[in-house]
Amino acid sequence: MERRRFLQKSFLGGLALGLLSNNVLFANSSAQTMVFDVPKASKHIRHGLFQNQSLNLVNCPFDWINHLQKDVFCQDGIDLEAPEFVHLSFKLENKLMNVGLCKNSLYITDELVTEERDLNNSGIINTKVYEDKTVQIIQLKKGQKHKRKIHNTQICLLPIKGEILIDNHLLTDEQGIFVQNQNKLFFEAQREETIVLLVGKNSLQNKIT
Amino acid sequence: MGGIVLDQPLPYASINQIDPFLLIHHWSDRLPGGQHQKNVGVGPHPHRGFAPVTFIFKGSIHHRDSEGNDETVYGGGTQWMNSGKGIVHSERPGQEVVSKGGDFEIIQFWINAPAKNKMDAPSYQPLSKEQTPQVLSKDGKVKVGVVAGNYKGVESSISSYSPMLILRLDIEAGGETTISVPEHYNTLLYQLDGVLTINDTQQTKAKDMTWFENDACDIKIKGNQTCRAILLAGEPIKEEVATYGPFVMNTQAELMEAIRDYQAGKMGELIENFD
Repeated sequence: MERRRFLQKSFLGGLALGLLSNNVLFANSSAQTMVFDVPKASKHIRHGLFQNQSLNLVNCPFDWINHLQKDVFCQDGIDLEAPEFVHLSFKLENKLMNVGLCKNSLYITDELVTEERDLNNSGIINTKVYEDKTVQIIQLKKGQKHKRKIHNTQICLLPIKGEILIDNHLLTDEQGIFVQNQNKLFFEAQREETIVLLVGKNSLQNKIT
Repeated sequence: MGGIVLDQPLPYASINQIDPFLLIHHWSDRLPGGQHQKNVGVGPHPHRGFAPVTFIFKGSIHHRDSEGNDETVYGGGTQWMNSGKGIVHSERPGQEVVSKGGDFEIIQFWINAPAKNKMDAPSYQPLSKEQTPQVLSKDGKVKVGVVAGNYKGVESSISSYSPMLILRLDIEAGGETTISVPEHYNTLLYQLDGVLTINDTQQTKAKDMTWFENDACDIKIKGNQTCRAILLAGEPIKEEVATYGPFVMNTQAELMEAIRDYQAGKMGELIENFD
């Protein structure tokens, strides 16, 4: 009698472990994150040659974000190694979004309004919500971590300035990462002034741990 | 700039602007010929918030824009564009000089617009050499082309955003003249070539830019050699300037909106038609 119960328990336990192990592997699989290259930034001095570029995000797994364009504007056109104004534009569904980083201020422009924020604090600087999409800007000092629980969220994340370590990937401001089917989001700033653009579908309002 | 090698007297070093003048680009080249216009010059790009003005000295410039203007201006002429709330334009050497080759020389300078005019409707004003009023100095050796403003009673047809005097100077060796400018105008002289003596005290040479103090009205110039120069004098606007790339506004937020509006197609679209 006891031997049968033992076998039954083992079977159920083994079944549960098998199911559990699949879930664990799925959540932690690096296949749920994908690093991408941000389209190379065009550098501009004072004058023309600023043009629209219809740049599709290559291999983007999400159909709600596209047309990422990065432009860097230099001070006075004299020193091309001194970018002063970094500008990103992308399309969220069909909404045009623009994010600008100039000196010590951040700007987010949508179809209706431009918001300006000082870059003097760490944490979430700005959040804009469009139905089930969220656009967030996060500022971190070197070594600071950003953690949150997420559920059923698709995320496109890229450093506008600085570097982050995420999912064992070191991302510079020339790279981004797609994240999906994860139950947590965690990254750490590797440079002193790191500013991250986070665009997500489905709630990003989850608890930050 | 985009593969074009040119001289930039303004902005320069610590001089970001000479209010209301924001930029001077001097492009001088010998085009080899055998090219197609679509591969030369500057293709479609936007502007908002100021007036880009181009003096053509050699060759020609073909201007096309999203308002439907399509015009070629030749040596001695001027292209004056008030970009206002936004316009997309291209500026390329004329097809003849591109295909046959030859000397090409232009100066483009930017004149800021007051805040109240930055969102005006855009406009384009071409002025040929023949349409540019000329004033001859007393000694007959200095020709002054009046592009904007009133010079010795001669007025240009160009409509500018704010009071100014914009002159083109052709000076023979030994020629001299005195130009009077309101004392409060910010005034600069950019020299294309030759040697000048200014106010009997200072010699200037090719590609020198002279920025005058606001302490007098008269500027005496004398040609030590044959010389070409431009004089830009304007009433300072004295407003905050936010400028990057092709836009000149008053705040960074307005620059963001200029970029957005351009990307959203609000400045129009230019599809160039090459014969």
